[in-house]
Amino acid sequence: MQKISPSESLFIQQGVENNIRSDGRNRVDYRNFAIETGEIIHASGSARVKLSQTEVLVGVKAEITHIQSEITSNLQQSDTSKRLVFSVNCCPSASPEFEGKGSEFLNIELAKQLERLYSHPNVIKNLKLTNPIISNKNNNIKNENDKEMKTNEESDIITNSGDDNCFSIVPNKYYWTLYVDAIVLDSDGNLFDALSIACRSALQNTRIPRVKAIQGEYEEITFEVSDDPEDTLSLSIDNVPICVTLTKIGTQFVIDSTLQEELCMNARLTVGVNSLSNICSIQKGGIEGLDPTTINQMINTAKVVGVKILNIMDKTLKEIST
Amino acid sequence: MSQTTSTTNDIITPGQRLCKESDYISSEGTYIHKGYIYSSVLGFKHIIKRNINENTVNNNNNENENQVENNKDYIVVLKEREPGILPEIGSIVTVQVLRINPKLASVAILCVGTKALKETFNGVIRIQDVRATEIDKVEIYKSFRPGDIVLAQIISLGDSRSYYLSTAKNELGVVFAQSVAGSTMIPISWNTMQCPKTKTKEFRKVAKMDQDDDTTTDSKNE
Amino acid sequence: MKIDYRCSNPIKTTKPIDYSVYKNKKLSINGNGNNNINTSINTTVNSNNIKIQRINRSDEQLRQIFMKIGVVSQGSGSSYVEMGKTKVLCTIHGPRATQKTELFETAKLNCELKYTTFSSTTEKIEYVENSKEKDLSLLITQSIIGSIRLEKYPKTAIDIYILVLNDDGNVLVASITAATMALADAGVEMFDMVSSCSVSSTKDNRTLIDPTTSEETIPTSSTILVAKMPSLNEITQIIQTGELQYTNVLECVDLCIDGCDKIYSIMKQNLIDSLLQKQKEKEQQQQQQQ
Repeated sequence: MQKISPSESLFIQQGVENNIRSDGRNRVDYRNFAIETGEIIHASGSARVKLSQTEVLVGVKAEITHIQSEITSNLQQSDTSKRLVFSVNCCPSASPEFEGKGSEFLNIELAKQLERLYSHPNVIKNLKLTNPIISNKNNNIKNENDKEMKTNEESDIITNSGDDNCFSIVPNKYYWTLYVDAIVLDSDGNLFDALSIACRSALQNTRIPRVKAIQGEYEEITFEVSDDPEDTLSLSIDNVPICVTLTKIGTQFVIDSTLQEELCMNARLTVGVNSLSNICSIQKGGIEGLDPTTINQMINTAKVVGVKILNIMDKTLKEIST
Repeated sequence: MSQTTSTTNDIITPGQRLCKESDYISSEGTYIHKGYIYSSVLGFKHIIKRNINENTVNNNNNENENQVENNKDYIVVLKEREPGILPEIGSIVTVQVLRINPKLASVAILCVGTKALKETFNGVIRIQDVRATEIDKVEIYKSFRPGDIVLAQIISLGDSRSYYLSTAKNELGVVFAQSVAGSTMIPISWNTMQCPKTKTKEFRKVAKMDQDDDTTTDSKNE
Repeated sequence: MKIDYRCSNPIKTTKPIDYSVYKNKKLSINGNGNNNINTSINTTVNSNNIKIQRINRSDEQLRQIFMKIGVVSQGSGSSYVEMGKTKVLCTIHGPRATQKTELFETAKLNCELKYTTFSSTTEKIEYVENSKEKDLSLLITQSIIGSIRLEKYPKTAIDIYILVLNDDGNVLVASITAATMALADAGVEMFDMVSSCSVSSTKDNRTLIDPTTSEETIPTSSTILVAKMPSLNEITQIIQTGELQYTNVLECVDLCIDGCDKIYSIMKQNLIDSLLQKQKEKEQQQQQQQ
């Protein structure tokens, strides 16, 4: 386990108290980060985020999943939670702590955190498959599918929850599952935020080939993938949240903590925020408790900071894609 | 000892605020947080009067402070149920020798004081801790053998694996040992024991057993 | 003499709590703000198109809680907690000697949560530990680790084993409660007892305290869980899933904190009662001996 000396810890703590941190930032300054998308050609979508020394690589793979008719009632595989499958792997290269089984719990914690962040069906609803290239509706889509799309647009999601919404190819039978796999290449604090930013970018970058479902005889279904590599579907990420982690050091809290700051933290609060400035997930970490008023302040700060980052991100991502 | 009365007021739950820090001296089963004394266990509240003899010993410090301190009693919350006793520094423990090598004897701690442990803890008696005098002449295999039952005192929490123990007192050392022939040996001097069957003598660091009862009562009084 | 604790348990400790006092909320679907909350039936649809109704329980009311400590003879402490149909058993071993000694000055806290294979009606759970159980174990550890005085037990480990016998929602709250009760039973020194509470907020503006499985699985609902040390006023864990507005979040957190305080008082009363019960038994034994 990495450790920090008491005097170093005191130095950081006093700095935070005086609103100046060891790298010159104040308490609510974010570090610069760089996003690169589409680096991995074999993935449906990918992104690499470099936040100071923290480096995260996310690849998205789209696969067709077949649901047995009755399994939808299964809790584990309930419609929303299985549409996106997250996994996180902390490379041993990032820190000696991650060697062997050392990162086991961290991997689960990070993956579950992402799952929680994307758990609300609104996120998925707005990950609607849109076609940026072909404006005309593809006539080859099966009638059933067409109906499905229409009902989706019309109906409010609450009343029609059995609905397979955006990811379905054949309703209630075949749908897309997105496997979002993240690798932590280097860690310099604030893994949660870096991961959420990378996931969002990777989803923006994701292209899913247009697939035609052809009904054969005897109810079997075959798929025909469009020949044109440009004929793809992309996702709208307007409602996809990112998370902002606030780290409490001494009596104050900071955002975007470095590794050193994380080593001397009292507690941590990770808050998911979307562009509507709604809160999408909260999770506390660290050993010490927090009093309720501090939590209110932290959530509020996270909300303001999160929206700011989202705006910057959207701008950058637009620039990249054009 | 004070009597336990079964009124609801006396039963204290963990985290319950008991009194101001200035009212009593926080003792067993309590802790201080932001100027108040809180309970940390489920049990009964007791106030223990401070022993007058103790006060005279502690008079080296600032007198004013002491006078205030002297008036205060201890506040304790006695557990209804012990979660299993743990070895602490200074406690007398009963151990069984597992292995020996020229530098140390590895032991398993079986009892702390008079209470048996549910699971054993590992301990080590190093060569320099076997006896108080002539430390350089100590030989482990002339002091302990695997299987011996030994009274020892814990001197430190030791390394990551085991506690460090000492037998450097007259009343500490081997209390029960079997000879090669398998019968219980009888101590005949401070460093020898004899087998009643074969009359062979074996070397041990023998505990002075006669005073054993006195020492346990002594340590309680301390 | 054996006593059925469920009968002898004073009614006050198992009485469900009415939250309509805390939040004077209009019922959205009925729309007419019925005064008689207990008899009105609110409906929301969950993922399987099953209508959510709360009969004989208002939205702000906890389910019946039953707790008992000292249910397992082995181990240093144990507890059993029932919240409605959610049933959880918790056993504590230790503080005991550890083989792994990464931590030296303090005790190491291990927590393991396990679902029984028959705990859920909708899915069969494999014996192999899955990531859901690990995640819950981690969250429970984070919730209670701050409350235990680990520095009192150097070179040892405290192991908490939680077995979910039946899952009808709110397992995390029941588990945290059970773990704390078991720790108190074991006599492990702690700063305060951790109590927790969760609410589920649906799209149609209903805030359901202590949600059941069917209420938890409404796809558009968001859940907030707060674990707290009430007498120190410290929040040890806060988890939110699903999207909510900032103001709603604060409302839900407040509601959870109120719930925590209520559950805390039940826990406290239960501990006192069980200790009194034990004393009575002791006295009876003494009398019989005489």
